Amino acid sequence: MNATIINYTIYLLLSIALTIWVARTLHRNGRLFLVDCFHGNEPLADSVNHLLVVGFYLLNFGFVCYHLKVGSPVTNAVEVFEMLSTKMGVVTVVLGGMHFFNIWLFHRLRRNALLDQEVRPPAQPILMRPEM
Amino acid sequence: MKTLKPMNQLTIFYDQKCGVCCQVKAWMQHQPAYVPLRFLAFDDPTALEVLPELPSLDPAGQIVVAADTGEVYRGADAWITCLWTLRNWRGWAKRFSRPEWKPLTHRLCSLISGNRLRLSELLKLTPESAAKLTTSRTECQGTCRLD
Repeated sequence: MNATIINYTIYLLLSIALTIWVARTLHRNGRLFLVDCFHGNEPLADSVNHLLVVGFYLLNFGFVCYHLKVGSPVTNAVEVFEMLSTKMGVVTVVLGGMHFFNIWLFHRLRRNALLDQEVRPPAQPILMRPEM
Repeated sequence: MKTLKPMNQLTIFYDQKCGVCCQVKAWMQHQPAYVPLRFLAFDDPTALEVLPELPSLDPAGQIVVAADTGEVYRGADAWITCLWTLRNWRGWAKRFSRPEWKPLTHRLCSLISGNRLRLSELLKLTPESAAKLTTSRTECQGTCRLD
């Protein structure tokens, strides 16, 4: 087995493990937000949560595979570490970006759900009358 | 904590002689809304029956709206209330009501209200053209043929 194959194997194992860890964290902690967004409708929240995680996996695994190929063959241990570091760095940054995008999405959904529940406008009445 | 009764209707006292106002009315009528909207011309006798205090609020100067829950809003607050009732615009109503935005909202609303007839003339908007728009939209429901 040459160094390039070792490089690919370690890269794939690390990237997949990292993706799974981030996706599970999102799945576990995002559920609460979604239950709140859907006014306590747990089956719907679970379904959306699952769909979001599937999308997250597809995007990230797709990127990990796309980013696998190294430009020049790796010949020794030092190059394995250097290449791995570069590849893993990019994957981590992309995962971080996706993670923050998901958090933003959860926040937006929750904010819209809170807007739906409002009973009074954010305005100052000039006059108060008995109910019409 | 006392729970507030949700708003179930908003009455908007608009200027039927102003083209911009009638255009905005037509636009609002076609927006998805959280609460039913009722439009009444401020100089219509029915308006006085609905809100006897209306003349003292100078509805010719700035728009006045009244909620079924008893609150009456005027000027920028009335505009914010109108936006707040529309499903796609509630977020904007929240933004415009923020302390850092509110002075600008007030100034802008006063400016538009004060110059609404001149603005209508400039944009060639007449109450009749807005009425035509409302009728065609209601009658056709997007299925009319254009001959």
